[in-house]
Amino acid sequence: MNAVNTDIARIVERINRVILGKERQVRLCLACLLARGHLLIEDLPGVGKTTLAHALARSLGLDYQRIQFTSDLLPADILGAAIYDRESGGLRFHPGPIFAQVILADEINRASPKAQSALLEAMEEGQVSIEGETRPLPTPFFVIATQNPSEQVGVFPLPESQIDRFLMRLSLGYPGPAAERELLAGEDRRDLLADLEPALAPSAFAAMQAQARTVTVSDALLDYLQAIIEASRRNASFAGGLSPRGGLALKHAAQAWAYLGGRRFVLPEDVQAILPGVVAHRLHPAPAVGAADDSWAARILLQVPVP
Amino acid sequence: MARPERHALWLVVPVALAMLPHALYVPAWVSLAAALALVWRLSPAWLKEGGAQRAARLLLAPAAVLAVLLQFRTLAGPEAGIALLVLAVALKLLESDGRRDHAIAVLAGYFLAVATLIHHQEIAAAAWLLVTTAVLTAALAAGQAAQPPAPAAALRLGAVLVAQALPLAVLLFLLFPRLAAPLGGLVHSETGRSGLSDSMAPGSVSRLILSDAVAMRVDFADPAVDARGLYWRGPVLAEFDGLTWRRGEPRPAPPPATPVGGRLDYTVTLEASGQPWLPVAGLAEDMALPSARLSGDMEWRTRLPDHGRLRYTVTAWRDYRLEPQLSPYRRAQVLALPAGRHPQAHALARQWAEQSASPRAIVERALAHFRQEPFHYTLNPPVLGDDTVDDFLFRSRRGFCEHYAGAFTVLMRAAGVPARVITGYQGGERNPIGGYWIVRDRDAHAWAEVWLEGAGWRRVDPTAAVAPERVELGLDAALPAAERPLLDLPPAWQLRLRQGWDWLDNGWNQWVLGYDQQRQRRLLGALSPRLASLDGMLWATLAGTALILAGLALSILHVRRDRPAGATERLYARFLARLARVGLVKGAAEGPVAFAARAARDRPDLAGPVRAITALYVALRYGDATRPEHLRQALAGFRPGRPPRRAKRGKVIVD
Repeated sequence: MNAVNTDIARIVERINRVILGKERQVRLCLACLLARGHLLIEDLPGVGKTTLAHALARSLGLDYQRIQFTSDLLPADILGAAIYDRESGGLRFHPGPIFAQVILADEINRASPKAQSALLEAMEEGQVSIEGETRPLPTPFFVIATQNPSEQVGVFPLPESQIDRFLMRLSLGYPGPAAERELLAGEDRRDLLADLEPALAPSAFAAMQAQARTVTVSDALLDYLQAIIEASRRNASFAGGLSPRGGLALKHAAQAWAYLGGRRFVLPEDVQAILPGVVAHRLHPAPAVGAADDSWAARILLQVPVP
Repeated sequence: MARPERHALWLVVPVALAMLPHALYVPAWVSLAAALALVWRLSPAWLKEGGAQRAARLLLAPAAVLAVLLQFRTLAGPEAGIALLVLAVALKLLESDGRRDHAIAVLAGYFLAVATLIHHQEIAAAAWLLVTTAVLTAALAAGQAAQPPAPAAALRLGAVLVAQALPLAVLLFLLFPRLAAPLGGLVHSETGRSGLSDSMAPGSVSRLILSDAVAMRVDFADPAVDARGLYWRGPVLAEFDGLTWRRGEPRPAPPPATPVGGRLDYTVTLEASGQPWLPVAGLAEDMALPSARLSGDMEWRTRLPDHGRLRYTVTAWRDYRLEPQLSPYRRAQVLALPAGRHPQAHALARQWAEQSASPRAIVERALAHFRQEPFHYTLNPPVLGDDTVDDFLFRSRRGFCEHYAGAFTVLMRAAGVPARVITGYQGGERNPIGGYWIVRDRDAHAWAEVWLEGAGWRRVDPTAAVAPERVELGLDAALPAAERPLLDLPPAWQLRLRQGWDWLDNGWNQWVLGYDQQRQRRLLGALSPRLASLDGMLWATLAGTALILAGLALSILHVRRDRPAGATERLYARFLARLARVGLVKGAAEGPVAFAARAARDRPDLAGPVRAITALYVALRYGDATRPEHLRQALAGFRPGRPPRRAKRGKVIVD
């Protein structure tokens, strides 16, 4: 465990050098990736979403591609296409940017639903089918998507069925005064990113992911998870409860969070720590409740008694 | 070794509570001695007592027995028994320390509490008993714990236990075969009230009038009956010695009586009065009370004058003809007057007799006299001279119903018309909530009966001639305005409150205290004829008890299921309870580690053990650890005390 702890500490430390004052969000991002989940970062432009995604990919020692989503982006721009090859005289497949371990899908809600779904299918299946041929994606494979709040103009909000495929949705928020000061006084973040060296060997992260899945989830904790899922389905404030996938997401994320804490078993506190990020994009207020903020669903579910 | 002070409090306070009602009637020295013993038990001196005090305690017990013996001349019977019990329990507390003693003392407290019922059976007494039982039960539980729990928690436990026992108590009350006399005949009824007496002198009725106590409650079969028109016949007074009216010599058999008409069926609940009289309105055809007897003057009385609250159902006729024939001997009895007294009355009566054609006309003449002459109805008649009748009739002319009834009867007899005085009740107040009538002592009344040829005894109420309001509207309307405050009439809202309370009280009397063998059989018989038999009751009791216990067991198991079942959970629950006692309460939705962190922040002095125990717990509950022994050991030494004084910390900073 100690080796893992130092690894994780190193990763966190490296990322924190670039993203100032957001240690908790960084750890949550790591937990999300450790749980083999895709991450959605939603925030205003310019708070460091893209930088965070870059930093994560680089420090984990994974190869990564960035796709800037625009309204005219086509599925082939993501997946790749078979192009006639003059030399061999046949069609040769040119893989798209999706064939990388970390995909940074920037401003995902600017693209048309068609392009969005090309990405989202790949996210769920771990493979892509192009022109009748199924091609596996590399492992680990995950998508860090960023999006602007949907109130902004020129966006296509992700459909609910697709947004469910992201394990967590996080937002960064403005930096604190000290971080802000350092940001203003310090170097350019881009330069720092370029200097960022991988903290892990390429295969190490996959091993960590596998270990995180073995963290013990006791019966008592399953009781707690079930109570939370039950509460989300029964509470009249929600338009719909957590899906089974949402429940599994809670469990995996909590395991990863415990693993990050260097523990071999999951505590209710682990569930509570990851709960806001996991449920915020999955639960919607019932019409009678009206509009609600990001932490609203978590506030309700954190009232569920710990068995 | 003496146990903590809080144990002593849990011993003394509940037992004192159980003793409190007895202070109302045990001799004052008994209460004082018991109080002193309790105070001694609580004092620090008790803790460091030496051998001399132990010896003193040994001497106190025989001294208490001797004192009770001297006071009551006996140790048997409820009075001496309760005094002895109070002293014995108080002395027992003096030597009570460990758990076993505590349990014994509390059980004695239960006994004390139940003994309250010997003297008091009102609603308030029952409520008090319930509270006392809950407190005693809390004390029983608190005495068994090494560290007494917080008072609120213990009391809640006591209340829950009593509440769980209540269904069983109700079942046993309803189904267990009733004894003929409750508590083996030990139960005392208050007998302080004075009811109708078998003699009447000026002033005897008006003394009753000032009492607001309930004499009886009447439930009419026909709710339309206006009880204010009814006369509740009590003792018949036929013998007069010039000052006092008394009952005549007893006659062997009731006289012939024939109903004329007007059914009148009702049930009377008569309060204890220490008198045998059963007031009855109309001619009772049937009287549902085994101990009731009918006298030769048509008075109903019970063989058991020292009765408690009595209920009797009467089937009666409103109009009737009583004793149409009067034997010469009887006639002489109801014409007799003391020789040589009341000359003026005799003269007036003779004059009426000469001028009137018939006895009926004489009666009319007399009533007209009372109406026309300046007679006054008052509760404060002036003091009368030696010849009370003449003095009243011709001088003071101010009097109360007994003056009028007495003087009228004397006049009738002097004029040769057979007459006698009847005392009883007239009037009453309807309780609109319960729909029954309340007749109080202040409705006591006296009137006359005259015997007329062919008609038998006819009721004549001379008071009605003077103050018709008394008969029609009740006492208050008849009195002069200045005298009304004497009766202290309450405002309307108070009246409503009083009526409501009376209704409750009456229901309690009827259905709880009045739930006797007869009522039980009737009630259970109505459900099923089988239930009315002794066997049926016993089987139903057993079956009902089993059902209630099963229901309780199920509900307890159900509650338990939500509670931690395993050893780990129980140990952690104990840990939480100990922290809760020092004000650190875990939120329901709070995780154990988060709670430990918070507790450590609030109480840095406890941080080490709290973190260690929590770590052991989470490893057992959420991790792979399987053996709770370490947790048990860690918990055994964990006794969080009060937080260290803030002042000390402050001093360090100041210094």
